[in-house]
Amino acid sequence: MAFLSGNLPLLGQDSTWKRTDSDGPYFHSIQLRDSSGRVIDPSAPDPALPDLSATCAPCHDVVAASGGLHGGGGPDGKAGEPWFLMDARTATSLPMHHRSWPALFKPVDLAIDGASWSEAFGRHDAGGNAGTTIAGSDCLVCHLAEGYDFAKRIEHFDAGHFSTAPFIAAGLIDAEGNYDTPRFDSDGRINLDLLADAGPDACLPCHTVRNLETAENPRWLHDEDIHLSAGMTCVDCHRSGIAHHIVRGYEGESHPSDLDVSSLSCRGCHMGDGGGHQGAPKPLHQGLPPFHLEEIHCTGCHSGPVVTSSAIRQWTSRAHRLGEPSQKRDSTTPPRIIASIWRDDSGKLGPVRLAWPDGWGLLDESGAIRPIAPDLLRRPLRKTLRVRANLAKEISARLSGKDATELIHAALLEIDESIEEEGVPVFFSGGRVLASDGAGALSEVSSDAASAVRWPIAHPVRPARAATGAGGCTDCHSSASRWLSTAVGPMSILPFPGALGASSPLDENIVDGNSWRSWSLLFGGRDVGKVYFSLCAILAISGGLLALWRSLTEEHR
Amino acid sequence: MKKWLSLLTLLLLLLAALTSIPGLPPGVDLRGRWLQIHLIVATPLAILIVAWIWFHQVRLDLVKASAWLGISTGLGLIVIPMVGLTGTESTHHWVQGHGWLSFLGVGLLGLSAAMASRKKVTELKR
Repeated sequence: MAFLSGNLPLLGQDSTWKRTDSDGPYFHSIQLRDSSGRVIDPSAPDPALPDLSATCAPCHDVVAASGGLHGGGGPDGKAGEPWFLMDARTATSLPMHHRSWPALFKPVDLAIDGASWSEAFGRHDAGGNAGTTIAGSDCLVCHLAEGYDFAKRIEHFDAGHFSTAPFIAAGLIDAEGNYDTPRFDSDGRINLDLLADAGPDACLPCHTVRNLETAENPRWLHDEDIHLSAGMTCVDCHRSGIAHHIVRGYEGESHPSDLDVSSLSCRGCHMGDGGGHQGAPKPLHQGLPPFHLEEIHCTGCHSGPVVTSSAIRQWTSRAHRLGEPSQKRDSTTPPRIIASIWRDDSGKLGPVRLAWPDGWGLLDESGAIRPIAPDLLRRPLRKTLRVRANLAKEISARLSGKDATELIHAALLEIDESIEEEGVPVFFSGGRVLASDGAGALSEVSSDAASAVRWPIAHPVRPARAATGAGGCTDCHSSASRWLSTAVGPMSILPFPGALGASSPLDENIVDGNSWRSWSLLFGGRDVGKVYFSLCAILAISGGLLALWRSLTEEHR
Repeated sequence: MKKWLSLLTLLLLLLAALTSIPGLPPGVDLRGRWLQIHLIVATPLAILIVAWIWFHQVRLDLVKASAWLGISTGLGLIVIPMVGLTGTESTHHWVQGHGWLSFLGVGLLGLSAAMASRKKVTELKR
C-alpha cells in the first residue's frame, strides 16, 4: 500500500496545474492577460494587448505545451514534410527544416533567424519554443473549435503581426488592437469553445494535402480519409499529453515519453494479436501472399497514388499556402511536389512525396553547396536579368526558343562580383547544379544539393474497397499498372541544354525489375491457373482416396 | 503409364521439393524467383500427379497410396489460399501445410521405394 500511495506520481494529485480530470470539456470563460500576466479589462480606455502565453499560463503548463514534437522539439525521427522557402523574384524554392532529415537545407545556412522564420512560415507554424520562431505558440489555432479565421491568421502573419495574429484570427481584437467588447462580460471574461480535441477542422488548415484537380478528376469526386469519414478525429491516433509530443503514428516510432505507442500505428491498431484496437476492423487481406505485408507499408496500398495512374502532382497546406483565398494558385504553382513510391530505410515500399530544390548557392572546395538567401540575390539578379516579380516567367518569356545559358551565366558572374562570401556561384534547378565554365557557358557540377527530398505519405487513407489490390493481383501485377514504371523526375524552371534525369521506381531498383516483369506475365494466366490447379487437386485427392481404400481392402483380403 | 512419364513425374516431384527449400525455415514463405520456378515445375507436375494416381490405381500398396494421398492433399491445401479463400495470416498455415504434407508424401514414396528394393534384394538372394 505504501508503494501505491507514496511512490507513484499520481498525475491527478501531483500536478502543479489545474485539472478537472473529467472526460468532459471544461467550459472556458476566461480573462485575457497581457504579457506581464495582468488581467485585461477590454472596456478600459486604451487596454493592453493580450498575450496568449500569459493568458493560458494560470491553468496550463505553457512552457511544456509549446515544446514537444509539434512545437519543433523532441527527437528528429523519421523524415517529415519540409518547409519550402519560396521567392519568385529569385526563382528560389528551397526545402528546409531545422531537423536533421536528409536532403534538406538548414535555416542557419540561409541566416534565417526566429523573426524571418515567423515571417516566412509563421502563417502555418503553430509556434513553439525550439528556437526556430519568435512567434509564441498559438494555442487557439489548434484548440479553438469554432470561430478561428485561418485566412486572417495568414494575412496578419504576412503583415508581421506575430503576437496579435491569433487574437485577430479568433475575432477577439481587430487589426488596430480594439477589443470586440460585446463578447466580454462585465468581469472582462469571454467564453471560448476551447477543446483538447477541437476536431479535424483544427488540424486540416495546416495539414491538408490535395491531389491537383483535372477535368476528369475534379475535387468533388475525391474522398476524404476513411477515418474521418468514420467519425474519428486526427488526435484519436495522433495523441499527446500536455508536452505536445504528438504521436506521429509510424511503425517502430520511439516516443519521447518512452511510452509504448505501437498501438497508434496502422498495424498496431488494425493488426493486433487480439484483433483490431477498440474494434478497429482487422483486415483479412484475402488471397494476399503474406510477404506483401513484410515488404510494403500499409500506406503502400491504402494511401498515396493509385497504381493505375502516373505520378500525381500535389499541393500541401504549408508549401502552397492552402487556407489562403487565392485566384493565383494553379497547377504550375511551385513547389512542384509529386507523389510516387519508394523503398525507405526500413526496407519497405511506401508512398512518398518528392520535390526538387531550385535556387542559387555557393560551391565550396569540399564540394558542398551553401544556398544563397533571396535577399542577397535580388540586387545582382535585378541588375543582370532585370527581373521584377517572377524570374522564371519573365526570363522564359524573353528567351524566344533559346536556352537560358547566357542569361544565367551572366547572373552567376554578377553574383560572384557582388557577394563577398567564399565559393563558386552555382544555379540549381531540375536536379542539376550549374556553374560558369569560365568561357561563357555553363557546366554541370556533380553534387547532390539539387537532388530530390522525399517524405512519406500517410493520408488520406483509403478503405479496403478503394485500396490498391481491391481489384485483384493485377492491380499491381500487370503491364497496365504504372505505379512502378512511371518515370518521375525534376523539371527545370528554365531551359538548358541536355536532358533532365527522370527515373521510375523500377529504374531505381526499389524492386527487382526482371522479377517484377516475369510476375506480371505469370499473373496474366492466373485465373486459368486457379481453375487448372483446383481441378488437378480434386482429381488427385479423389484418386488418392480411392487408391488408399483399394489398398486397404486389398490387404484385408 | 509409360516409364518415362513416371520418371518425369518423380523428377518434377524432386525439383518441386528442392525449389521449396528457400521457403524454409517455417514462417519464411517461398517468394520471388524460387516461387516462380516452383510454380513452373508445379504446373506440369499437377497433371502428372493426377495421371499417376489414376493409372496406378490397382497397383498401389498402402504406403504408396498414403504417399500419393499426402501429395494430393498437399496440392489441395495450396489451392485454398491460391483461390483467395484465406486471409493473409492464415495463409502461412495453409502454405506450410502444403509444404509439410508434400514433403511427407515424397518421404513415404522414398520409403516405399526402399521397401520395394529391399524386397527385391531378398527375393534375388533366395
